[in-house]
Amino acid sequence: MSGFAGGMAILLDPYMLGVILAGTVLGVIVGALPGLSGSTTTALLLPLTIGMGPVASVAFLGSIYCAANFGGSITAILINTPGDPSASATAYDGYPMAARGEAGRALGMSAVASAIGGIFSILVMVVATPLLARMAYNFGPPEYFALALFGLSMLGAVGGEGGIRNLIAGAFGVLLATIGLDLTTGIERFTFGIPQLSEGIGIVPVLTGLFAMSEMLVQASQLHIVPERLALTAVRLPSLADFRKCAKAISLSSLIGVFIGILPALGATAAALISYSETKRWSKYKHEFGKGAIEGVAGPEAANNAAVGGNMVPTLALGIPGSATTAIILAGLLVQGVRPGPHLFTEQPTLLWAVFSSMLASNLIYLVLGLFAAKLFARITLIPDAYLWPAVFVFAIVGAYGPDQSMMDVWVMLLFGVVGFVFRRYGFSPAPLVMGLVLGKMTEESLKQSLLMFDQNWLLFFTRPIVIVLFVVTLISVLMPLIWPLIRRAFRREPVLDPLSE
Amino acid sequence: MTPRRLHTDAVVALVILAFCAGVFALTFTFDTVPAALAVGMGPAAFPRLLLAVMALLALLLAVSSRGRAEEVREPVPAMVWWTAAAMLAFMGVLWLVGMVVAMAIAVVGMGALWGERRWLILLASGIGLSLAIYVFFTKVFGIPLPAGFIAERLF
Repeated sequence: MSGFAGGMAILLDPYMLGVILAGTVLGVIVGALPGLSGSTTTALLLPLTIGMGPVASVAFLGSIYCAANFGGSITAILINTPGDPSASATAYDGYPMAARGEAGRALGMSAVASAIGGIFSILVMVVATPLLARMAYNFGPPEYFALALFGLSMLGAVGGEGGIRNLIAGAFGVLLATIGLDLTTGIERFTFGIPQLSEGIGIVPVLTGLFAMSEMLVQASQLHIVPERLALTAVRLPSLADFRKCAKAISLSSLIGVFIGILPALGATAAALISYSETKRWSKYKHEFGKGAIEGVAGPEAANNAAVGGNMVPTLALGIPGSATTAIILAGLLVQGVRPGPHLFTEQPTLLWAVFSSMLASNLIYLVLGLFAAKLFARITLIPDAYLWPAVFVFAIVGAYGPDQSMMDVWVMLLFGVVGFVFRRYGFSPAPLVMGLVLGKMTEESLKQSLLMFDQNWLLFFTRPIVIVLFVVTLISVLMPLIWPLIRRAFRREPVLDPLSE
Repeated sequence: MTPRRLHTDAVVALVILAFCAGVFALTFTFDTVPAALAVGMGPAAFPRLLLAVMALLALLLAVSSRGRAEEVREPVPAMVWWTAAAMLAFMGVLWLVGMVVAMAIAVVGMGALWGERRWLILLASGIGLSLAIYVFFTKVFGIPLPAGFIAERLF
């Protein structure tokens, strides 16, 4: 209970409230800016959090994550370009609503549905995280190895060649994590005699390069595209009739969002896309979808925000990130010397309650901002690319240099900017690479520790029931890319977007 | 009869296979493990296992591309190359004049490259931003930024 009280007490601390407010406002702003997603911003600003301490750091990054999903809907509705990939499904009906002069109604519903989904997911997170952590409390290295393998295998759950690509990118990320000293033998691997690489490749420069620099190159290729901007007169609260109409969509999508979010590797984008099709399936007004159905805005917005809390459950309870952004938040905690996992609940309960309370506060803040300041945030989309992206570039440079004051890290960032651009051009998402990089050390260490425990006898993995269950689920995830085309052919459904693109 | 072009995914798979082969060869350059520590998986075993998985997945990607329609891919616009060149040039400028001045030059230069012609606003934003970063990093966080070759020689 003292942990709960301590966590809630951060809301009385003016410094912490300032951090949460700054994170939320920043989250809405970057969410609204096409190209600058929540994951890009958390990667970009991660170095700034190093001096903050773990509680403020996770509150800041968590607030950005919560608010960016809502911010993405502003541009999805007003310029038909999702500011954050998780808002891509919102554009399907949000933009047609704006086109017929109902931008305010769409944004109002987006703010309310986002907040309901977000707050619901935090309540689930409060209950589910300690339960999952308690279950995992007695996990040994074999269970952690199986868990890490399961997390990585979920990258393939997208299906089709997208799943194969994600698995390749994930394996590449794990390979990158092997750079540096081998912990059991002290032998250097892939360091090429460069002393800075002995401790491994820096997560911060890789993240900044993959997300911010590669996005800058993508934006450079799209300078000729001028989006059509629709005017926003005022934001009004959705009417009681709107609420009645959307209640089912919000409830269903909140459940879908939390469920998808809890699954490792699947984030807010997957949740929004799946909830859009489910909202349509269960709606009485199917014919309105695609032409400006308010349920088509409420469903995905509730789901993508509900996925945020869901994503945090495996991240905090097991140390297995639920999405690209939570992988970055996890990296932020690792940089602070905090290793999320079951033991965190006994060692630092205040930190966990602080995460819950800060995310709750963030949801309430962006609800108010969304309802009363959306017009102001909509103006952010007017910032010319010629000012925005050079500014992002210099932030990325100092962000990569700052933590270790190493020019090597700046070069690594630029290199991974190019890698990220090539990745995207050939259909690979940078998110699985990040998941692999974050999970890499844990995977190798737990495998080696397990084999030491088992006296190098691999078969003894199969004497542990939890490991067997996780191996079976992993096998299903890995086989999914192979059987998915058959399932898709049977149901004749085409995937809309790669859900891992978050 | 014109020879059939390889699917882009097949080419991507070949590149991945070549990468895996190259990195696999690198694993033979690791130092030898002292006998006292040579228990269980050696330092090369895990990377090799990963490379084998990557190679297998690359083969699957190549196989799955058979019969699949080729996605039309526009050539990389010149602006991407220019932006990448500007990033590289930034590193040279940084070495010469230090991070603070290089950042101001980057904001003005890249802004101009991306089509901005309001020079006064561009200049003001470049100087303002780099000064703000300088104050934030050196005064608030106490992180010194690289001074550059010229400043090191002069002061």
